[in-house]
Amino acid sequence: MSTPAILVTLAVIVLAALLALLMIPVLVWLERRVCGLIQDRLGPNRTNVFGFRLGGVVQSFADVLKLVFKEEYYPGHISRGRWLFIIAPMITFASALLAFMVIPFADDVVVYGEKLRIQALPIDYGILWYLAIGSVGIMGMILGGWLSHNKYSLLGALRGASQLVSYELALGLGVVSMILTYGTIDFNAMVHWQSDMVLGFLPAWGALVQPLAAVIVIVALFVETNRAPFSVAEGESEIVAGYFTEYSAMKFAMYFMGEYIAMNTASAVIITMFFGGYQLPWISTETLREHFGAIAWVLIVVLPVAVALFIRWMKRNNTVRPTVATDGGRNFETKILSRVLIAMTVVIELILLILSFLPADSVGTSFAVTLLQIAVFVAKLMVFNIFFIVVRWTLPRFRYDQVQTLGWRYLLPLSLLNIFVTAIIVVGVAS
Amino acid sequence: MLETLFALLSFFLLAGSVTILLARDPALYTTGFLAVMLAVAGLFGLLDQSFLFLAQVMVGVGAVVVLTTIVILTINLKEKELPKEPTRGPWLVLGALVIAPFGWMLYRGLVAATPDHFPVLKEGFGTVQAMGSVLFRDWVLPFEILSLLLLAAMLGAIIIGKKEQSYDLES
Amino acid sequence: MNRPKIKTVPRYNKETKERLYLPAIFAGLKITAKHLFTNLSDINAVETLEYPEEQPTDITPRYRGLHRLTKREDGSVRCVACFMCATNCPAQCIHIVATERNDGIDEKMPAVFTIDTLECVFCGYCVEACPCDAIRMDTGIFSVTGKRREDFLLDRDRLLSHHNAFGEDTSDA
Repeated sequence: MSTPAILVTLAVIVLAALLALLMIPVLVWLERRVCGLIQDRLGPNRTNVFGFRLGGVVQSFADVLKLVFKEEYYPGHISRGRWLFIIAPMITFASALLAFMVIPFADDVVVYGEKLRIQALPIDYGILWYLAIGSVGIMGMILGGWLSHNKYSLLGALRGASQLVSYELALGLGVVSMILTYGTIDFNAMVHWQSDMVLGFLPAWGALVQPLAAVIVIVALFVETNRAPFSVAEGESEIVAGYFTEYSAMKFAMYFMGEYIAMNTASAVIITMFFGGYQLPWISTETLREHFGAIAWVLIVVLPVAVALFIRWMKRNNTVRPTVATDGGRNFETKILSRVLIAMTVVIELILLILSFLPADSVGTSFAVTLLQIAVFVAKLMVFNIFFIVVRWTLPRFRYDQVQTLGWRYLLPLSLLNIFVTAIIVVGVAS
Repeated sequence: MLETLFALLSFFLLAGSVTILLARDPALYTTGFLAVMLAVAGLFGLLDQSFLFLAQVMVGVGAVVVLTTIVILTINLKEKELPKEPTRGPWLVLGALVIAPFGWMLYRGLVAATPDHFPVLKEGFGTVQAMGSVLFRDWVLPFEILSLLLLAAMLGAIIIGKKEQSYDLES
Repeated sequence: MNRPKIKTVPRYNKETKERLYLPAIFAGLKITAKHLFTNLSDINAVETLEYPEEQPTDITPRYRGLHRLTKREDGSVRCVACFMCATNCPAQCIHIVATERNDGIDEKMPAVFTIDTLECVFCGYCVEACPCDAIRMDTGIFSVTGKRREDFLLDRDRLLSHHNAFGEDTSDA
């Protein structure tokens, strides 16, 4: 490998780790703010560093600090196998993190004749890797619930495990119909397939080609991530906190972070399989590379407008009611942030201006296309994470038997039917 | 790099196996089992056998270890309920003695082998695609018969399970 | 079969549209999304108190705030240390030590009158029980804060220093 290739690979690995790990505090903050706004409250908005509260995201970092410095408490009945008790959350965390590593953030780039995948683990069987690693994550939950020597934990672990095992069938079969459609198990090839068009005008996104499979897989992924409305494994009203009842401090945080990474990964998988991945609708990578000049000009026009709208929104909403005596430095923060944003916009505009005059096959263009695709991917990722959060604060929790009924009696037959129909159509089109 | 990974995985494999043999604590046993399965999967991965790797993780860990663990934890073994095994040590030694000649033979075979004893693999051997082509082109009938066999086994298990229940209801 | 006391509840989710779940789920998502975006577009429309800066305005005279000991016209303590409040207290948080009163106004008064607000459940039974209207909960103080446990023990002087938030400091007795 040449030095630039190694640099690109390293950058991709760092990016993947950042997207998985830095997303946790952002997601925790988003969860609390979105939940608050849905319920006509404000949510955490006070913690600040030198007056900068960034809408309250600083709160998450304060929470992390608190969890790190909290007392490591072990219940007295966990005398034997304490190291196993500690390993259990690590299994969950590590498997959630590993599952995220196969998501492509952008199309392949060619560096000095070498084709590099923009995914942290350059493998071509991404979806199978996700399914396989997801099944390892169950072990962390079972071990944690079992080793707590607590009936609530045990019940939570059993519920979680049986729920995951039964929905893995529906998930797997839903994925099989997508594999039949795309004819590949490689995430990147799936995204390539989706950059075409169907019926002449719609983007060939999986959700439009296979709506039933999309619903099945999205529901099954909600179960896999153990989130509401399927969070029976930690039903607070029945079994305290489920499998992590006995966990405290950083051990608890491991489970907690693992859950959010799993949610992030599930969003990424949904995007990649059903919503065109890193691709803009209607625009494939080749089109992007060929006409990057024009797209750069569109961005040059759109970016200042978007930033101006955002600054206007911030000026209106980073405030308190006029009846309140002090705004706690929000006005000052708005001023500084708007200036920083304007400066960044100017720099990006200049870079885009230079890029728009570069030839289509230059290194700069392909680099810019990659960055653009990463930005699109992150934007879609955020949209789906917010979708996960809004769903959690909309739907009440299913009862345990309802979860199993939905999985076995509705989703499983539907996914089998979907496979049959898909197979018939695929064979019919091929012959 | 590869050698280090190989050594690490082998260490986990051996440590897991020894744990399975010696552990009295069911939790420790389960973790050993998990370590063995994952280490074997990792060794397959080192050999670029992506299909075997995935099958090992998905079936070995996702199905076998998880279900074994659920069975063990539902039995809810207590320390005093574990069976007493006073002859355990001698049996282990005896078993090791019986196995030893095979190990020696294996070692001799590996030492005697030179690189030209091993056939060079085709490009793409062991990938999911190659495996699928072989299974569904050349071996499709045995493969389907095997799945029928599994179906029959599953039905049998369900019927046996049902039967006992209905007896209970009648009596 | 005649079972008059059993009421059969009709099941409403028999229609295919309702059994599909998805339309109902999207209707629910629409409601939450509407709340989310209205509040996002104008955060100050959210009916929330910016608490430390904004104080609540809906505390009525009937609100049971922190206790106070009322005073006579001459400014001395009205309590006669009859122990009615302490006896009636369900949380047993009132601690009284009585002493003789030699100024001719009355015969007894509390030497120590301590309310442990960590124990108190703010039920107001002490106010109900008091025969002399000597203890009241009309201070309107709704938050008790402190850094040590001792800060939550309200002694006689502190209870006497509280004022009626809704009128004169007089009492009816």
